Amino acid sequence: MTEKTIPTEDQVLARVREELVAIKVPGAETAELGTQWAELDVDSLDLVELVKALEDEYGIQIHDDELKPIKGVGDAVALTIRLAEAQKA
Amino acid sequence: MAVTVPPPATRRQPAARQRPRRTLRAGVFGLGAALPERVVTNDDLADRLDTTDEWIVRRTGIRTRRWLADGAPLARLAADACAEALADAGRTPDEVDRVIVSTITPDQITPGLAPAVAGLLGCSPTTAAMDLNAACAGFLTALDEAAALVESGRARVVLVCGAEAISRLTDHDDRGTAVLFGDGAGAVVVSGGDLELGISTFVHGSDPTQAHTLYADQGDRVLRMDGQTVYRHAVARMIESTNAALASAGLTVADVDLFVAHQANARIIESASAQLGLTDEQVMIDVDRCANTSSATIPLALHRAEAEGRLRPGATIAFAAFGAGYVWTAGVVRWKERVHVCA
Repeated sequence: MTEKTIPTEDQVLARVREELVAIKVPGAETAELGTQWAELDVDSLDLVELVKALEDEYGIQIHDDELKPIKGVGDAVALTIRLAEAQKA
Repeated sequence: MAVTVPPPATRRQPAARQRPRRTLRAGVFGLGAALPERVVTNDDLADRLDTTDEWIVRRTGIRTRRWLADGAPLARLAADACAEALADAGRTPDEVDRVIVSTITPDQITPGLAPAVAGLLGCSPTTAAMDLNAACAGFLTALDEAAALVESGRARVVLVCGAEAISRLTDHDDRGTAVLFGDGAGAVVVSGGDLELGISTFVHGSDPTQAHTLYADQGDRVLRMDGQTVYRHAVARMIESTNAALASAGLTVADVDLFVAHQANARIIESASAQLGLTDEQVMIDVDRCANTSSATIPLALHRAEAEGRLRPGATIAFAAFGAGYVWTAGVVRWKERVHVCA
């Protein structure tokens, strides 16, 4: 198994944008860390698909109870980095 | 009528009189479906709920659904589906040993739908009739039960029906769930023969720890769900069980002609299919037409697939379903492997 590196904020942000574009969320290309789901019209099922993509990309596991507090791009990026760090530690 | 129960000793057949066993596999020999007349479009719902056709299609893939008229019996719809399945199999009602109806919406709490269906069809008084509740996984669970009965020699011809009137369990004022459900019925005839694959042994699972995320209480009698959690678990369990079912049958995704999953939401099916490595051509979508009819979605989807020429005798079908419980099941069926060659 290859050594996992902790992704940077910019890398995770780019991956979040890429996945939201893939699931056809309007305006996803220009999403920033401060963008909330309500502004992007991201619904609860979009979030499940985004989370799955992040899990696969970074080899992390996001539990059901960690899903609901993710209210926007920044929350998703921060949680991903935190879980990747915890996994490496 | 006086009924006497023979003592146990006389009920057991002497070993010498048992027929020599040969490999008997259960298979599907006929298919039928029935839908209520009333078509409800997304625009019909948008007239009274804060929603739009575009919103519903993007989030669910659903465009229309059928609703049973108030007071109309679901048993009649189920019997219509069963009658078509029997005709398709070249069987008559008096040949049916058992009727299994999967439903969570029987016309009464008790009796179940199955005795009424057997009566409407004109089955013999010796026909066993039972309802089965495994929520949205009910049809596949019943199919597996029927196959076990046939392969054990306890039944020769079994009617398996999924019949639901989910509009009776729908909160019609909740825009989140009101758009999701529909009514309908579908049935298959299961019998035995010298088949190569027939109905494979299905894989099953259950997880009561998530029961609170998808349920209908006796009190308000409407379906409530945490869609996000259900979606996540449904995709994961359907992938896992489909892979296990294929491996158990000695097959791979490349052998699948059609993947027919429970039709709850197009996005669940698309997500699971993509992760299984299936192409669009291998995947049946019927949720756009009928919405989520719980345990009726799979036979309804099969009926459409046949009508559209996407399903022919000999095709290999991978099935998967997930529902309240949670319960889930998956299996592989060689479709109408040898039509009209029953044991």
